[in-house]
Amino acid sequence: MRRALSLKRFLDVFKLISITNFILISSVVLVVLVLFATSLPIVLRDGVSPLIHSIWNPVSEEYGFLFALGGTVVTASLALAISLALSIGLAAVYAEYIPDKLRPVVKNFMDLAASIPSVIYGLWGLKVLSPVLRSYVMEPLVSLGLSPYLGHPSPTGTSLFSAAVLLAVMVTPLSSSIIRERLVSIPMHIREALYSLGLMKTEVVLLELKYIRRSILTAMAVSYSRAVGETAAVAMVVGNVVNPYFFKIFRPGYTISSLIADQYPNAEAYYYMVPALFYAALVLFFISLAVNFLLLKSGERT
Amino acid sequence: MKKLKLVVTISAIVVLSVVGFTVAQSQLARREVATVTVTPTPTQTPTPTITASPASITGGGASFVNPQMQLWIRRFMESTGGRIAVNYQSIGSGAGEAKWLEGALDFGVSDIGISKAGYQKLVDSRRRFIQIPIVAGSVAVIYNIPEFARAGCELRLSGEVVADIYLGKIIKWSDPRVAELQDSRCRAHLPDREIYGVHRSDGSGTTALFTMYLTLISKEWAEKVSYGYTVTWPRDQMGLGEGARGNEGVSAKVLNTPYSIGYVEAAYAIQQKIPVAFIRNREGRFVKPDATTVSEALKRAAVDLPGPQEFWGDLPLKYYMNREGENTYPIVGTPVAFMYLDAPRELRLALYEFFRWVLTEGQKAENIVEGFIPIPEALRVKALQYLEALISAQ
Repeated sequence: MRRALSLKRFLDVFKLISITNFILISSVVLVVLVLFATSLPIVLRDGVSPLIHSIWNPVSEEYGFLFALGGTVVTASLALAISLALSIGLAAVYAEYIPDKLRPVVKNFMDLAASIPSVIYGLWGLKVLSPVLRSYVMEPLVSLGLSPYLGHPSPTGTSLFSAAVLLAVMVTPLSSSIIRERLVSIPMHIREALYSLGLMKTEVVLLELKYIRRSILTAMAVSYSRAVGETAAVAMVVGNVVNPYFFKIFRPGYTISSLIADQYPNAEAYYYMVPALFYAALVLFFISLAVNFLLLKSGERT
Repeated sequence: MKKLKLVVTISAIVVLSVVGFTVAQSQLARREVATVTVTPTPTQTPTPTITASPASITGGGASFVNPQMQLWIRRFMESTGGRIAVNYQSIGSGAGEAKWLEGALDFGVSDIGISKAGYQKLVDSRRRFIQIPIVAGSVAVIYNIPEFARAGCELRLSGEVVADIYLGKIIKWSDPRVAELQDSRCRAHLPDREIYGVHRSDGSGTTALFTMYLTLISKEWAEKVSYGYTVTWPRDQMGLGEGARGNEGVSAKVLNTPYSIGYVEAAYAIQQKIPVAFIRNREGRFVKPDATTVSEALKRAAVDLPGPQEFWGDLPLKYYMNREGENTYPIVGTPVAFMYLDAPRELRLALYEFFRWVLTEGQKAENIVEGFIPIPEALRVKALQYLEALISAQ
């Protein structure tokens, strides 16, 4: 009896703390190992040159995925910037301006938006968002003579820019719910203290946002990861073109996730394509890691 | 207690890393064997690796033929009373080939035949196998020119012009080289607009067939682009083209984008009623893909079809495409099924029975899915001949 009890206690201690940690950490280690081992043939053959070249020519077994890398970073960063503005605004309006009775309705809508499958966002992006962005955003900007910097939009409107806007729309519900929950949970006495200083509502909201900036950084990290990894929706609106000028955001491009989704099914028919795709995935992994690390570090400092 | 936890966690990570590394190493070793050219493997005797029970066969590969395969399987199992169960997984040509090479599938189906990389592995492993064509396929060039639709005109193209469009040498529809192909009434309706070139963004047999045809027709295409499941598209670099996923993605993009051009599996274009361009064949006649024109091409190819163990990766390029004959469509291919000859006898017999049914009963109109085209008699006879090897093999 006593033995059984002690065993139970022993399990309790380890069950949650050790085993879960251990599974989590070892699976991450394994993922990295598999990515690395599978991509080794192309690393041995080409070194870092796939990282700095924009060419995807399986016919001659040449793989350089700078275009996809650039496309991923450009779309995810732009999406993050747009979604940050949207989600902070949404959360602030929800926490401070909307009457209490309306809150559950708005909250349900926000949560519903977060749970829509990404393919549906993709269809909407393809049929509605891209043409609208083309006619009302890209064309006017291009007519101002910005096309040398932003590129000339395609007739379909699919572009890195459309993908970024779509991603922003997709990640906003999630990140804004993180900010919203934190904003709502600010203790009443802090709120009252701010108002007692005679501050205007706008000033109170700004101070509150400053107070929860760490949650905002967390929301940013989550959004960035989701934006980098999104495949189905992005593949529909990004244009899927090997575009070495990925900084010209009005032109169609590629992201690493959509490249892998497009190319993997027939990749085994080539010698080095599978390693090349795994190499791209490995690089993507380290980029996400670096971004998360930076965001969390800057959260600690402030 | 804290120390113990730490030790357990660290040691577990170390153990797992070691395991992971050995797995990775063995994978690497396998890959190296596969990439090194012609290494003699004297110790390796051809051993059958398939473990499926004799009455059930599993295949997989090309997704394009999936609807046809599923119908065939259903009808075949009805006719044999389920004595032989067949299972087909639509996982893509490249993956089907790779899984078959690993021994995970009893037969594979590819849009164009075993690839160069796969063929090399087969030669290295010294395994005996056969390849047979199972159904006919062709690629249609589709377009969207509102002026033509209004005037009731139909577009005519030649292989050279299509190649130059995708190479980016022909920019606008009004280009004289496009105009000279049209009949006199329609010539005036060609708009002075830039052509938007749509192509498949995912690796596909359709792209392989289309680029093979352009390789055959245009020297410049052969040098600059060549053929494969995925190629680099020169027109994209000029900002005048983009990719879309799947036949449905390409056709949707062409339908929604005025002044665009694209290519899809002909069965798909016919089902969806998308405007299909006439292509000039070897005799200078303009033809569209349909059951007659595709069969005409394959009928002639049956005469010089290479042996079932040859490299079939460029079969359409060398034997099917741009054949003689007034009523021959030039861009054709056949999905190819492949299976091992050194498989257990029961399995070989089951495979024989299924594919024999596919090549005889399966080619009848009632067993063909709308849009697919049965392979002509001459080619069928040849394929049945090749299939006999499954029985005679030891």
